[in-house]
Amino acid sequence: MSWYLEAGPEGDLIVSSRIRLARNLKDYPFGARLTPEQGTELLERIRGACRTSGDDYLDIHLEDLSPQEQLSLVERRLISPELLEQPNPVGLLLGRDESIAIMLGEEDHIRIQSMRAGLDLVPAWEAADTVARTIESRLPIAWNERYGFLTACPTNVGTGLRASVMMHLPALTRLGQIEALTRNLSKLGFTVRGYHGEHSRTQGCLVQISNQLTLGISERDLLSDLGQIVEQTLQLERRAREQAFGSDDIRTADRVQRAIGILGHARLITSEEALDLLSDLRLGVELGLAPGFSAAQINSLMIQIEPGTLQKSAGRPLDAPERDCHRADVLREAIAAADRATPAS
Amino acid sequence: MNCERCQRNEASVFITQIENGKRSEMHLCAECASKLTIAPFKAIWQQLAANAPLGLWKSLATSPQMQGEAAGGAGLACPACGLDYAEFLRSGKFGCSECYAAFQSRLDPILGRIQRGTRYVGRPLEGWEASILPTPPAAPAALPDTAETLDLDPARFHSLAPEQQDAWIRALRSAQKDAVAVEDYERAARCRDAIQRCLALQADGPDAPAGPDAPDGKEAAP
Repeated sequence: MSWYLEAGPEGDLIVSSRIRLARNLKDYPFGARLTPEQGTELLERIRGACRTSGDDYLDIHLEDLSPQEQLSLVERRLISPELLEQPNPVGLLLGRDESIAIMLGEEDHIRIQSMRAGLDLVPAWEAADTVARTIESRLPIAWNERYGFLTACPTNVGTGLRASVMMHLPALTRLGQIEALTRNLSKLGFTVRGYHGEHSRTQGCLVQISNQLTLGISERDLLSDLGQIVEQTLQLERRAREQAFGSDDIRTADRVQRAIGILGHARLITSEEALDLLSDLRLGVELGLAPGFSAAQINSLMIQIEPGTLQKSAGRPLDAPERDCHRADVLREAIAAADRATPAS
Repeated sequence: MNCERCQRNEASVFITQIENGKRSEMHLCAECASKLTIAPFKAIWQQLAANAPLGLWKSLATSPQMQGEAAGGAGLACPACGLDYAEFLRSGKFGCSECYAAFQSRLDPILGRIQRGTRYVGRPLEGWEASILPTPPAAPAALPDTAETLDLDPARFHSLAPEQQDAWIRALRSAQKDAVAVEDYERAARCRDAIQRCLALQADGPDAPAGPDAPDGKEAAP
């Protein structure tokens, strides 16, 4: 099942876990320096190797998709925005349940992504590693004993492994602690980013924590370090919640109910406002103040209200006011459905 | 309203960009917008594109140490893709996998600053066999000469560190391969037996008595 349709381990505070493994073929320049002919040949070789591996992938030709469909792939975290910016030919092999997505022709020739709901780093890595091993056994991969997997950027060399966890941190956000968290984790070799990657503002109280280091540390140590950092951040958030919400139940309940009220009745809503209200609603789910709603439902709504996915479901391009209108429709319908599903108390 | 790019089709995509507090709007038709697919969400993802590692790289690349580094590497270039060392430092990107070998003499200080270590400790490449590669430099002092290797002294073997034991076995495998290459099958068979004895000793641990010679024919030389 797609990560955004379910809630995994520690699902109350952790939205998703993501792994990315970078691999390159020997004998071809890295992404940006490929000629169009080399790029096409490279893609065919990788597609061929994956086709005959017995794994079942959708072979998506991005150039055939509308801009809205391309954007929706970015919003579902199945491709990076950089993939669409490459001058050379690119491709996407998508596992049937969308938990595995293989980007072809990005900065590195092959980028295998594996996504899971909740905090589930090791299984996510094992799934990506299985795909990597299959590819390694079928294609000549750039690797040596000294530096490991060779990548276009020296910040990815070695394991080529980037692991990231998306967390919901409303209390730390409200207490103004995200900047301090970012600073401290960066000293330890971890990066903190917002939902959309901004440093300035944490949208919807969501942050992603990922590793910076890929060489001189084994895959399992790296995942265990990140897991520990995430656990410690969870503890910080739980402590901050006591401080931010604990002694003031009625205010928190008010905040959650107001969010449900606006989401259930607004006729126009921007993506930014919606993400903030969904964060309040998620907080309600986490504190047991929003019966009828689930973290999985909120994960799914977060994707549905993004511009590309909205336009894709509308089947046509929408300008900003039209998107705000469609977004409000999607949210009202979701709230009404949750109301219907909850027995009157 | 017509598309402001082609001035021909009806504009259906409206893009608002706010840069340095300045608001700008673009009105495009679907066709032109699709050519500029990235523009609408470029701003949103800008930070992600310039993600922390690359930001770190930029601050490193302009540091005095790195400037000195660039001077030291003047003239280095990758024979496979032509990328020169100064360009690598400037962009923070290698041109191809051969660049690692071409710039190897200068990489360790850089990797030391942006990574946990300068050597790989992850899992090996799938299908990679240590025996076909040269012996790692850590073990050569303990490497026995061939005669000694074949007439295995269990006490000596046990006195070695595990990685030295592995190097010993690798040396035997290599000797076996060499023997097969010159069709010296008798010698290849002796190597094979010695390998099996080593593996048995490794499996049994230091307290076990030296095992009997391995039965013939188990791992027949080709």
